[in-house]
Parts: sequence; structure tokens; C-alpha cells
Amino acid sequence: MSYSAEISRQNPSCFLFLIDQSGSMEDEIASGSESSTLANGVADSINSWLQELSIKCAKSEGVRDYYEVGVLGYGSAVGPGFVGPLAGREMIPISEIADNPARLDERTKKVPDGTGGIIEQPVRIPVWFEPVADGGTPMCRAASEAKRILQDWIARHPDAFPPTVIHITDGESTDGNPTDRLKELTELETSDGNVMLFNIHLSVKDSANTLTFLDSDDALPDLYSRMLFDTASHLTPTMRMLAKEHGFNTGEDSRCFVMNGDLVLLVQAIDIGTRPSNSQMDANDDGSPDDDDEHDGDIHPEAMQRDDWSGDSKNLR
Amino acid sequence: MLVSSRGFHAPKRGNVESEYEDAYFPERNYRHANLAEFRCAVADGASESAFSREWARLLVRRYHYKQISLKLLQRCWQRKVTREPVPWYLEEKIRRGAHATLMGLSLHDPDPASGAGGTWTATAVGDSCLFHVRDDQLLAVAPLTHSAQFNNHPHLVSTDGSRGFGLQPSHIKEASGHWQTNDIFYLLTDALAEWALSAQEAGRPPWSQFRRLGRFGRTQQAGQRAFNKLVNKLRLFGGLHNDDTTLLRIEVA
Repeated sequence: MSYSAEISRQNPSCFLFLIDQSGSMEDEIASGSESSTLANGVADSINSWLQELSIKCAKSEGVRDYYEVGVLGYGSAVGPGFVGPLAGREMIPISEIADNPARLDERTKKVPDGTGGIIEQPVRIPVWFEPVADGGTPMCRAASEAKRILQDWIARHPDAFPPTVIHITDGESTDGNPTDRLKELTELETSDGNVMLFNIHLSVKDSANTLTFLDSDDALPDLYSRMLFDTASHLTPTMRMLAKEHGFNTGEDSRCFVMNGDLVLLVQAIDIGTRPSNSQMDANDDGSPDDDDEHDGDIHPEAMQRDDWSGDSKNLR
Repeated sequence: MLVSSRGFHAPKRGNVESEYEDAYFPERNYRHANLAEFRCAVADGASESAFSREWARLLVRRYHYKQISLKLLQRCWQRKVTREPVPWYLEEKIRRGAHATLMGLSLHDPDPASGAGGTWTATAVGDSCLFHVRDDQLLAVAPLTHSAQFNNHPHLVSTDGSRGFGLQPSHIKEASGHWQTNDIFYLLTDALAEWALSAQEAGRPPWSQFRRLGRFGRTQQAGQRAFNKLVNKLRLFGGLHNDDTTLLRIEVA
């Protein structure tokens, strides 16, 4: 069965972000009271995602390399998108990413103080990726570079849980028709299945016409959107379950495809694409309590509510 | 009562000893006579949290010493993990807390000199289980009673005092019963508990196999070697999940 390899330090998986950094990514969006740009929103989403993945893989002795991550930008140039100590690197183990942000921003976070009040705590927010919006949209070259990077990675990890490519764009290719090159990405495979490609198209103007995880291209307005639909992978059953958690209805033919999405949808789509359920790290969920019913801090049996079982009555045959 | 206790453990395959996140207490072979009360526990630190091994160890040790105020334990854990400056990701991970299951067993002997037996009580949060066995027959199991009840979302005791330690009263399960001389109790973390219940359900109870692990006269190292062999065999051929695995065996006489 595909997409069932255990993700471990001996057999890690990988994510590759393919980020449109063309001039149009400077389009302004309204986010709360502040105005920002698409490029800013994308950079924030990727930085938060990297932060979360680092924390998820962190154990007391350091960050465990369950994943490698690459960010490939395309605009006035095509190349690796990290800044700071990791600049110029393509696929990087998550431990190195966690230990080498370009900078750590100091902010404060409100947390409960344990006695019903709220206190402000200083927190450090890492930044690896800065917003860039400049030049054309060389999607063909970007797809070719992505293919080279993934071919190389797969050669080193032939039995890995297949790589996931998250492609984020707001415009049309300016260096030709990328259909074949994007298709070639999903033809790459490990022994556990084909590379997954998510095409996420963002728009600041057309958010009323958002289309998510379609199962046919009937509703799509032009050749460009059909190209993004056609080249996107089908959602795996696990991804469909995650999509449902986010409130999306999907069918067996639904694609990893978003059209005219906003930044909220971007974060949801990245989550659906990058949270494989079979990670060995998920083996023991530490889920937070289902409600806020507080406990007094003592665990003496006599203080506790008795449940309806008792040791003497349970005989197994 | 005379109590002998022996603990055995194996880290998840692919992990090293220092990455083992279950805990049990007493850790060393233990043999004491004339006891009016004996307390022991196992805990399973959640793999998604950092420093859950430290939390699991605090829980079992303090259960044994009857000092299980979670507020106090939370402060001990906090002191332990913030002793040295940590990188940004551990700062956040510590803020999110550590989590563990707990199974504590307490044996009572109203008349330690008589040899007439006594009572036991158990307290559990999550899916670490207690098995009460007499003459290789299972008398009681708690808090889960069927292999199908195991899942990836057990209730956990957390270090987060501001959220009631992740507990509601209904998460804390109790059991009780009577013991007789030569009874054996096994405290198992989830992987082995699930396997043991499946084996029992399939008509192949594992108790004689487990009993041989604690054979009198066997050194701690020899017993541990036998346990490693058993766990490896069960992981390869017996359907035992690859997870940290713990068995604490208590015999009363």
C-alpha cells in the first residue's frame, strides 16, 4: 500500500515548497487592521509552519530529523529561498533548520499563570524566509529545478514516505507552458508511492470565487487554472480525512488544488498536505484536554470519582 | 506480606536507551518482608512532548513514596527542565508541557504476620494496565479490558496545572480486589498490555511466559536479557507494536 512507510530518523520524508516570488506577489491584502502583501503572508505562513515542525520534532536532546525541508523561490531568479546561515542550501534536515534561523524576533505571549490570571511571557519567534516580490513567473524553470532536487533526494531515500511539494503561486507562467514539467514531478516515486503535488493559487481580488479540492475541471475559467488542476495530485485518504477536519467536503477524485485562495486557506491547505498520519511521531498523541474542567492536583484514589469497574469483577475467558 | 518486584524494559526499536520514555518504580529488584503496604507504578511518557521521561519518572517515584501532589510534581519538573538555558524550540516545547499515562498499584496487608492475604487498589490514567494473575489464570485487568480499546489517544496526566493537569475526574480509573499468597501482578505499558490482552483473547494466555522472566535466583541482568529476547521475538513475529515496552512484575507471599 502506498503512503504507509513509517517516518523515522532512519527513513525520513521531505517537503519542498515552490514559491512564486514574482512582482505581483506585492499585491496588498487586508489582514486585520494592517495592510500586508501576498509575499508577506506567504513568508509568515512558511516561517510559522517551519517553527511548528521544528517544535513537533524537538525532544529534550534536540530536534530529531524526521524530515528534510527545501524552499525554492522563483521570480527574478530561481533558487533556494532560505536566508541567513542556510542561504543557498536546497534540502535541509529539520534539526539544522531549527538550529539556524536567520534571526529570532522577540515578542510577548499571554499565558495562564495557573491561578486564573494571565501573564505576559517573552517568546522568541524564528525567521528563515523573507518576503520577496520581483520579476516574472518562471514556473517551467522552477519545476525543472524541483525535479532535479527531488530526483537527487529520492536516490538517497528510495524507500521513504514520498516527498510532498507545496506549490504556491498567484500568476501565470512567463517562461512557457509548465504542464509537462509539473506532471514530471508527480511521476517521481519512492517504493512507497509517487511524489505529491499541491497547487495552491492565491488571489487578493477574487476571493469570492475560491475553489477548493475540486474533483473535476468543469467549473474552471481558463487554461491556466485547468493546468494547475490537471497537474495536482489526488488527495490521499489521509489528506481527505484532514480536509474534513478543516470542514471541506471531498470526493475520491478530489485534487490537491486551490484556486483564488486567501491566506487562511493557504495555512489549511499546507496543513492538509504536510500532516501525514502515519508519522511515528504521532504514535502517542499528547492532545490537550477536551475541556477546562480543572483538577485539584491530588491523585489519591479516595479523592477520585469511582468508575463502574472493579478489579474483582473483570474476568477474561 | 513479602513482596518481590522486578522491572523489565525495552526502548522502541530504532531508539537508544536514553530515548526510552516509560518509567517504573521500584526500578531495581526489590524484596521486602513484613510489609503492611507496598506501592508501585508504571508510566508512559507521551512521545510528542519533550522531557516526558522526566515527568513519567517523577510520577512513578512519587506514587511509590505516596507523595503524589501534582502541583508539587509540576514544580519539580519545571525546575528540572529549566535548570539550563534551552534553544527556542525547547522553550516552546516546555511551555506546552509534558504528558504521561500512569498506573499505580497499592497492596495492603492488615495482618502482615498471618499470611492470610489482603487487599489491593489501583489508580490509572490512560492505557497502562494492571493484570492480576493467580496460578497462571487472569483474575482481573484494569483499566482497559479488551485489546480493541487501545488507541492513539489515551488520557494523560500533564504538567499543565493551569489546565487541571489535563485531567477530569472521569479520566482517573480505580480498581480494587483481594490478593492471596503467591498471586502475581503485572503492570504493563500500552504495547505489551494490548498484546497480552490479544493473546488472552486468542486463548494463548502469556502468564507462564511472563512468570519465567522473574524466576527466583535470576540476576537483574539475566532477567533483562530474557525480556529483550522476548520483546524482539514478539515485535518480529507476535504482533507487538514497536513502542517503548515495560513490564513490572510484583509477587506477593
